[in-house]
Amino acid sequence: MTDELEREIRRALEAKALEVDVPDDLAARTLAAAREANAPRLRERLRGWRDARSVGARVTGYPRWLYAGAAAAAAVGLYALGSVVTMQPGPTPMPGPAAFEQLQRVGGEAAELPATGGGAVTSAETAATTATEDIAAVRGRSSAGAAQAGPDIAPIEPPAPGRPGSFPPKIVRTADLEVEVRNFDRAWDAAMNLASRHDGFVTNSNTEQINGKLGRGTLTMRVPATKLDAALRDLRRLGKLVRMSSSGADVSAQLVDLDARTRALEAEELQLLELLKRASGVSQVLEVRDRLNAVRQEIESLKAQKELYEDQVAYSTINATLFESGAEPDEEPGDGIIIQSWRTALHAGLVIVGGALVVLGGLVPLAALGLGTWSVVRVIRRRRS
Amino acid sequence: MASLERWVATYQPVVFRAAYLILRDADAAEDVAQDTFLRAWRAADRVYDETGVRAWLYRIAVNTALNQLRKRKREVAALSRIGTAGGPADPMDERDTASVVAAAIERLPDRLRVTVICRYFLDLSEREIASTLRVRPGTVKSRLHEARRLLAGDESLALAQQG
Repeated sequence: MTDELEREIRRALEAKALEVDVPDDLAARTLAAAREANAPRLRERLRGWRDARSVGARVTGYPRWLYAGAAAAAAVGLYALGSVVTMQPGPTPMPGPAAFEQLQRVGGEAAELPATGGGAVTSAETAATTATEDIAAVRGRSSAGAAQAGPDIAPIEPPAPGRPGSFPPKIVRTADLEVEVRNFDRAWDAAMNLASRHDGFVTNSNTEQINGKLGRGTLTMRVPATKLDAALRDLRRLGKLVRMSSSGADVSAQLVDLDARTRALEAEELQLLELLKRASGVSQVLEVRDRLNAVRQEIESLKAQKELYEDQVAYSTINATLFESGAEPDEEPGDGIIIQSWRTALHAGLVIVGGALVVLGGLVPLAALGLGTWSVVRVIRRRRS
Repeated sequence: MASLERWVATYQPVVFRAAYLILRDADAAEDVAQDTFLRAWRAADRVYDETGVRAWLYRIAVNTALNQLRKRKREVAALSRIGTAGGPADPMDERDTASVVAAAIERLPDRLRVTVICRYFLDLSEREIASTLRVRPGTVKSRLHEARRLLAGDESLALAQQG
């Protein structure tokens, strides 16, 4: 009975449907409308895609813009995560970067010294030219490095791997600590004496009173590197250690480099002296002497840099802060954990926004490339169809 | 565009007639038949397998037709037109059983009528109908059962079958 009824229903529906004829031009009109249709909006595209998926039609995947959006979101997310992670408090930065920057500046200035100074002398041009060529030859040999400086200069060998003892590492050590003390005056005196007791010296000190009674002070002391640990131990015993960090910078490579450059310049100096003995004519002599002066200045500069490095290596730096309870450093009245957290969060937010801008800026060329490719593909597809 | 031409040639007549069955209006059915393929074309570049295209197109067609039905509120007018023009005032006058069944289907509530059209005209499976009408498969099953029960109990149909 059901089968028969279903057959009747099918027949009836077909008969009813055949009451109307499909307009002859319907297909043509549909295709024309499709050709003229503008690019579909995102919402319609998504709906079409969703329709296809819901009835099990196999589709090429999610809409392409979803992939692009997800990639951009992932990039921003990763950047934000990285920014937040790298914002975690780490060891206190080494307090001596200024010294190293100074060293770099000294080195840079030395390198920029005038190469020749013979422009004032106009006579005896031939002799001057000869001198310039000789100086250039000498400089060429010295600037090529210590290994190529000439027979008088022994090549600087790099430390052989697996033989750490052949070049003992040169480490600049720095420590920072904060100690809460019961009696500031007594602890301060002990700290000042502590420097001399460990064969060191105080380079900087500063004390202040908080609310007219609580003491707080910071001091910078230099102690022999071999006594750094003992000095730190004694400082910690002055009270309750609140914070401590230490860092070390290996300057072995810089020292080796300074040595090499110094020896190369010294070789050049010797050769210039020889040249000076053979020089004939005022202009030639002046030019050689100018270059000689420049080389000597550079040598002095390099030696000063080396001494500074060696001093940093020989004497470690301790930045100590002593304070009585209630006079904690870097904490202003009312600057509680909530405010600190808020500042941290604000900073993190700014970093995230900045990071997002960087990522978006970086994506612009890629987006332009992708858009161009997509346009070309679309044009080709349309022509084919 | 090639795939669209193929789809139009293959499925548009059926889509047009299904829309006509739902809307009872040839002009509106034309609109639905066009809109269906325009919507399909917009997502055409993401469909690379023809397996599900038929059901997909029918789903778009049925939904577009249902939207039209709701939006333009033609149901009352269409029913009255059928009632005056071709309605079986006296079933015994009907010589053709198919017409009587068709008229009985017309009298079904829309939710049952559209389900019947999807099942017996478009040949969609119950799962496909459920997806198309956004109902559960069990609901489709019960709707079809109810529609068959109503049609089987329709007096005019019984008389026509006896005749």
